[in-house]
Amino acid sequence: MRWAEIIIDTPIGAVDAVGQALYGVGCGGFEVREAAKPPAVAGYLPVDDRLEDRLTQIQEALAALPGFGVVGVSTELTLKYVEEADWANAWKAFYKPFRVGRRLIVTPPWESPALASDDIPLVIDPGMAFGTGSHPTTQLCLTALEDYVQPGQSVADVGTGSGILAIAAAKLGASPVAANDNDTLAVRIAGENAAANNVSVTVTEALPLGTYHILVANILADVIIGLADELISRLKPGGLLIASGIIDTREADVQNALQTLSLSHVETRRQGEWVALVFRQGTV
Amino acid sequence: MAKKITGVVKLQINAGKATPAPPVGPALGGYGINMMEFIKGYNERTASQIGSIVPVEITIYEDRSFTFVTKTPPAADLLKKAAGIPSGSGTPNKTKVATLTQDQLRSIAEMKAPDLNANDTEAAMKIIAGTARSMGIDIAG
Repeated sequence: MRWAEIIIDTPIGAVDAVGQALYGVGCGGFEVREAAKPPAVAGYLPVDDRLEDRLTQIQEALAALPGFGVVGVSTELTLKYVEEADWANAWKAFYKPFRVGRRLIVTPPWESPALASDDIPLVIDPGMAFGTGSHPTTQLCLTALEDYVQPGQSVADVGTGSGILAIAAAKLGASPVAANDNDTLAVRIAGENAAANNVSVTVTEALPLGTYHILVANILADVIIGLADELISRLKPGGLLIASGIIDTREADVQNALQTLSLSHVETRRQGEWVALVFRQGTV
Repeated sequence: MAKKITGVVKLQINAGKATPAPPVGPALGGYGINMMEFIKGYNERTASQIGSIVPVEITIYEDRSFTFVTKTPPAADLLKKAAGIPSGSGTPNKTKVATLTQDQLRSIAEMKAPDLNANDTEAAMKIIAGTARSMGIDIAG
């Protein structure tokens, strides 16, 4: 099956009037290309023996718009033909298993990557919650966890998103593992991802209670600075804080904010323009 | 996490009834986002509005994760509701199907103003009045 993509130059105020013309011929919806120059509306109709009549109807409806005080809409239709595709599944081609650090393999659930005996697969269904594993800030945290987590240590993941960091910590042997996110959708998805990986992670909306050997916060410079006191209060003596999600232009701000508290700087990791800072509670 | 936005896609689709067919499939396909998760999420969030068009704005980030927000129904839906009619006129030049008051027009204009690039309510009313006339709905006064 083929589809005709019908593009109509449309000022923003006229979108609803043009939409009526498209719905009038049975269009199931349309895209509003507000950022296009000029802004446009793109509707779709199947290429069949009714297409020509429908296009004529659209053109008639558009031609009548100035008479109703709706101006600026092009009466010329731009047509493009689009082949029917497996849109429901085509996006999966963008996601392949990939290695992070030495042993971690991030994989979508529909792939079964070949694993070496000490490889650790992290099954993450890519979607709405942040943290598909491909972002530099996530990778900085994953490799830091791989280097620092000792079996039996407690770990908390603040701003967990998809849960990927908490899941990695649990698979590296950490226990117990807590995670939180102020987005309820992320709380649900992180819980589902943890279950899919057969690990135990307690996911909550509020910051986890108690104290931890390792705290990982892959969020944003300002959020980390704002949460600094609370984060430090959750570190065991000598515990580690891995702070990430920091763009290099904000590195100094976070460094200064954390250093003035009861933390000592351990190391700084970089990938592209992104930075992860590792601090230890107390003096080294 | 701080992530760069790689795209913003705006769609007008039927509440609770999104599918991978156009416009959703071709509009989002190039971004490589988990389309079924968007569709499920949109249909869940708009289930109570079935029968209406609910515009949606999808923001896509560089790691192909995404978020979306739903917007107020299009002016045409609000006009039909205010007029108590199931659909606009097929021949708006000849057949008028309803008449709305200035107050009704104003309340719709106020609701839609943020989506219309209108400078003030008066400008938004002018835009909505045009949409109304194109559907065979007259404005009194």
